[in-house]
Amino acid sequence: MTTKKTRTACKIALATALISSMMAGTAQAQLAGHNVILVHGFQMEDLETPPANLQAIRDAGEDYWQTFWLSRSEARIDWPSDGRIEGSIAQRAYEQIREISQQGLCNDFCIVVSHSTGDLVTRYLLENQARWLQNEGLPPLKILASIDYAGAGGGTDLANLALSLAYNPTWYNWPLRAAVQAFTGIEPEPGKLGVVNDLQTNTARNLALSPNSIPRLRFVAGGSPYAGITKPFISGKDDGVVPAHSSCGATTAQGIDSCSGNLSLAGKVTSQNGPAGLYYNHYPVLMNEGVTHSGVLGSETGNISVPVVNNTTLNSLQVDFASRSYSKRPWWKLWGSKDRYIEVPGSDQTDMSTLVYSTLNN
Amino acid sequence: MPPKALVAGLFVASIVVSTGYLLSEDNRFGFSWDTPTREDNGQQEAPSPGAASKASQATAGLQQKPPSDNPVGFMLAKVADQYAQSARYPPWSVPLTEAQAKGYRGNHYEPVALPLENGGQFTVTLDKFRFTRGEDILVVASLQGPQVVGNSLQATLERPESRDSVETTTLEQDGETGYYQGSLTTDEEPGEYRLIVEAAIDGKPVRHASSLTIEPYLGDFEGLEDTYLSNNNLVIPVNFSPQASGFYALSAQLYNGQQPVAQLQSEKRLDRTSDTLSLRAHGTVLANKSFNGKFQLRNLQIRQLPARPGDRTHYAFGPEEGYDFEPPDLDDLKDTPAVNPESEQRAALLKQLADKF
Repeated sequence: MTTKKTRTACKIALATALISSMMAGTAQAQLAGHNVILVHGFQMEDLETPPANLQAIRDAGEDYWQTFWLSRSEARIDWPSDGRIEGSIAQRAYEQIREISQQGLCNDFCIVVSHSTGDLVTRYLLENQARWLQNEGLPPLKILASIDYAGAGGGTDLANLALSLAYNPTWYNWPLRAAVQAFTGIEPEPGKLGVVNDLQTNTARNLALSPNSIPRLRFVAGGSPYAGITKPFISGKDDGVVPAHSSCGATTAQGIDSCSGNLSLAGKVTSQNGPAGLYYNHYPVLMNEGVTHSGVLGSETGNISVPVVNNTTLNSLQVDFASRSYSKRPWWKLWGSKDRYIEVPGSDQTDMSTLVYSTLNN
Repeated sequence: MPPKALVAGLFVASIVVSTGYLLSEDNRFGFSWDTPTREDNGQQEAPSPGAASKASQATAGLQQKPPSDNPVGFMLAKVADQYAQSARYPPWSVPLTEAQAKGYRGNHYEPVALPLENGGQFTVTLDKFRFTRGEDILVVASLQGPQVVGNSLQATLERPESRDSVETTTLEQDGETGYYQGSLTTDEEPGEYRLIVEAAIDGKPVRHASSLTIEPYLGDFEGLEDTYLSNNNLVIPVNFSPQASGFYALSAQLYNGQQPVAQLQSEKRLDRTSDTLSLRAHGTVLANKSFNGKFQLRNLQIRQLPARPGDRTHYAFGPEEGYDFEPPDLDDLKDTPAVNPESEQRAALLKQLADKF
């Protein structure tokens, strides 16, 4: 009898703990007290095998964010990469925007987390969602900010090249073809490029480009996926897929080496080929030279993140970033000044997604 | 002698290596956020974060909170601060830097380069990305590198879905510049098209492909009405007679001489009875600034916005020279923040978030 009671008590305790942990999980899904909506990037599998229906699109969207953000979000906007933004992507995305509006998930301001092409998709949706929802008598989504990892809103040279390669024979320029295949996952064909068409630099930079009230927080990577084979074909610094001009939010497609004119992607304080200007309400926050295009979503540690500090004054108060930086002199440099670096201490112990999430939920 | 020279050489080399080793320093592993390092170039030891903040705080006034020690927190606080500044401007009248004016001018085509196998480059340039139906497309191509190329290239306009060629032309080489150029017409159905430029390089065909759009005729820009001041705005009514009713967005850049002043936007439903969209330049971009002479409205662009998800946006563009106008007296305009409840709420929430750091 006693044993039975003990077992029952244990079961109740376990169930309570489980429910509490589930509730805690739900509560923690928010970012700084705001619901999180995820907008994924280009999914190359869709070019080879187009998703059959919305459920297939949603399943792929769920897989995309497994590493970190899935359990920390309240909703997603999933879209098919075999489509075009002003086409099936907008249609599929809007079905989910309508649900989010009906559920009132953004009544107290949401935070969008986008990755890669999700940046461009988000920009297009932000320009149109209010009008479409109001036409149906629904409230527009209120967005606090968009956290854009490796944003491809300015397009990528790889998409330009993919289009040309689709019109050339398969033997043509194999290093270039290998790079494009690493990016698209397919042998490019004129009718099979889907959203890659929208990622051409001219197409992307002529789509939904008006200044917007929603702040876009930019997180920029500079690593080398695909064994580095894509890098020679992207202008300026890049993360293996997206050039820095795009991820920083620069106003032109000219290659740049950093989001700042005086700080390298690795954090070295030195003159850089930075952007001439940034789009309105675009704020580069962190750069990370080592992390790759998809590694920013939580799968890669061991890389130093760098705050994009153009000046260290806030509300007329000065932060002495010199005291937060270290100097290093390589062994071969016998004299002269050491190089100065600025970084987020300990950022190599974590990944870029955890770093942002834990800071905001501190 | 040789052994002595060898010993002397080894001695000198060991001195150089030892000095190098001693002088070299990579204190990355000794770095601590809270422990500033001493610079060896004669500078004083950097003050601690607290000391820096305290010193700055003393000069800035004690009521202000010192900036965050956490660099990510500092950056978020910085964003909150910058956004609070940007929320002063209504979304339909935002200030422009020269770089932003370039970025937002619209309808820009950046040359597209295709690397060639022998290290050369095949580049195609257009004067814009969107062409109104009936306009000519001037195509300019260049080939750089050691390859052998003929005197002409072939340019074709193709529908992306069906891959039907709708127009072909020959690009002839200009004897002076070496560029290849020619024109295509745009009498086709509006939509996105692919421009395929084909060259015979070292005897083999190589194709350069890129996208452009043909836009439908949306209507005519018919100039400006008199400008006036209202509710702390300079109101600039723009006449546009639409071909079809629908929801339209007009954008333009306000200039004073060569100086970009603001990016202006306005959205409105237009039909045959309503053909004026009023752009407004808010006091925040005009008050307390010195302007000389006339203003110009440049890079006018009107978009027929997609009524439903999946519809295309259609574009039309104002005259290339824009419109000049003499503004009324601007002295009554005030640099007071616009009333913009959602942006204000957003700014307050971002500040609240940043205040944690």
